[in-house]
Amino acid sequence: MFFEAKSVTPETLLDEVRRLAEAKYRFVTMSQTALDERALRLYYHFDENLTLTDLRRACDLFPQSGMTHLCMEVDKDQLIPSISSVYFCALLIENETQDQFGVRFDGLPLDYQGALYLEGEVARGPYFTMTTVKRASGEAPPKGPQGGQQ
Amino acid sequence: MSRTTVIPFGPQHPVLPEPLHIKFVVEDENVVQAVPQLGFVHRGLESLVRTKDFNRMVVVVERICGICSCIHANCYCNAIEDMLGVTAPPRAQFLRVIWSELHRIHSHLLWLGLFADAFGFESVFHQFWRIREHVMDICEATAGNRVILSINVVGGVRRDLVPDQIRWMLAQLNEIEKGMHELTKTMLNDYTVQERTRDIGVLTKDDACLLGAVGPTLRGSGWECDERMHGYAAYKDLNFVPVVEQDGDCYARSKVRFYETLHSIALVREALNRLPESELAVKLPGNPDGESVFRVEQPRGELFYYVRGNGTKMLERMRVRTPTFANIPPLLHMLPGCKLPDVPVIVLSIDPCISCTER
Repeated sequence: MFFEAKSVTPETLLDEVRRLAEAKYRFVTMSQTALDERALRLYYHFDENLTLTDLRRACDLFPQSGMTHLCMEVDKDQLIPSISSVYFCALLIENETQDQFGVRFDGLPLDYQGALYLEGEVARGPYFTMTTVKRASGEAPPKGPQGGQQ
Repeated sequence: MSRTTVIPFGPQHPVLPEPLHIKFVVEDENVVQAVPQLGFVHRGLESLVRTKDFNRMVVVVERICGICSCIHANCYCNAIEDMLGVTAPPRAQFLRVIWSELHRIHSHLLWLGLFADAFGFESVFHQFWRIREHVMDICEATAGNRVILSINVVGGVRRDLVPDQIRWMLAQLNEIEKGMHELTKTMLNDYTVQERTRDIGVLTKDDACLLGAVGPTLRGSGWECDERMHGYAAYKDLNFVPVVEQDGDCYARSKVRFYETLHSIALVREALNRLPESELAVKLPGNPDGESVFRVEQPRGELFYYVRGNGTKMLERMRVRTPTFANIPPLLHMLPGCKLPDVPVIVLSIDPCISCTER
């Protein structure tokens, strides 16, 4: 379904998430989209279905209904507040986001520091496989991997 | 005085054939902390959307997980169809349900066998896997493959069922149901099974919600929550009722899966008997543009897809949240406090699929 998301900022995110937790919403996951090299859009998806008993009555009118989405745009350099203090289950997806997008979350109860998927000690062969990356001519190659993925 | 030891569990372990590593801090026989490590076989399939045509991505998402390949493709196709504003024809919707439920049946049978094996009941393991072969035969006879079915395309399905196949499938379903009924007493009432699974790995109703549990893990804790209740594909036309248990322990979760297998047999039978006549797929109006999310129910729980298109043949972003990824935090909550010999039973009770998680 096409979805509408409520915009939040790093300052208002935790208040909004606490309000949803009090209303017994279930945290589904986060989705991330890189808008450009510096900006990242984060979606927080929540499920309100746990309070309903028969969704089939509404499914013809509202297929895939019952979700609430928050949207936040952040700069990759800024610290993003972690929602793991409210929803502990968010810690895995927040760590995954650190791995894949190079951002940092503030207040993670278990912080893999960008190495959820690949520990620093296996960033060399035989466990680590480098892939080729297309670059414009003249562009300088990035520094070597520090426990993250290319 | 108790002694603290750190014990590694996986990525190679006799009861866990998939590469998940959990570091256990134990005091004598009691687990006090569990820290997971993922990424041993991470494949980065999500990023392939930027280099592959959105139609060809169907075969990629099927390979995220073998055991529920058809359901991954179903979810992906639905998300793209939503963006394109098209709906698969009625017959395709029913066929998607039939093959999805066959996957659920063989996934649950595989799990029931592995679960029995985890607490040393090898004869039950063999019996469940013997029954499972009937489902694999149905998949092979109707889709041409046992595991990766490749029946979904964006806009519908690519294969149909003929009346002879339907009659044969109904006979096979009777055999599967008969086999399940023969095992009911052993799996659900046996003293050994109950001793190893009752009051083990308890997840309370409130914790299940707060920790984001999905699927049989959530329903085993008393929540009536199943994505099929939304009525995607043909579920809105079928007599679907979620299976719910209240106790939240390993026994409750195995009971949910056992009865879901029987319910899936009934759903396939109903869908086969009510299969409508229509074309198999619709023509697509163009390339996907915009953002879309879609959720379906996998054997292990809610599967979530987020896709973002930009009007070209390549998608800009795809994000997959698999059920095992969601069930790891509840698992980390269940493990502290348990005895070390119960660890394999509790870990298996969420039906972990690392192939899905390491998409």
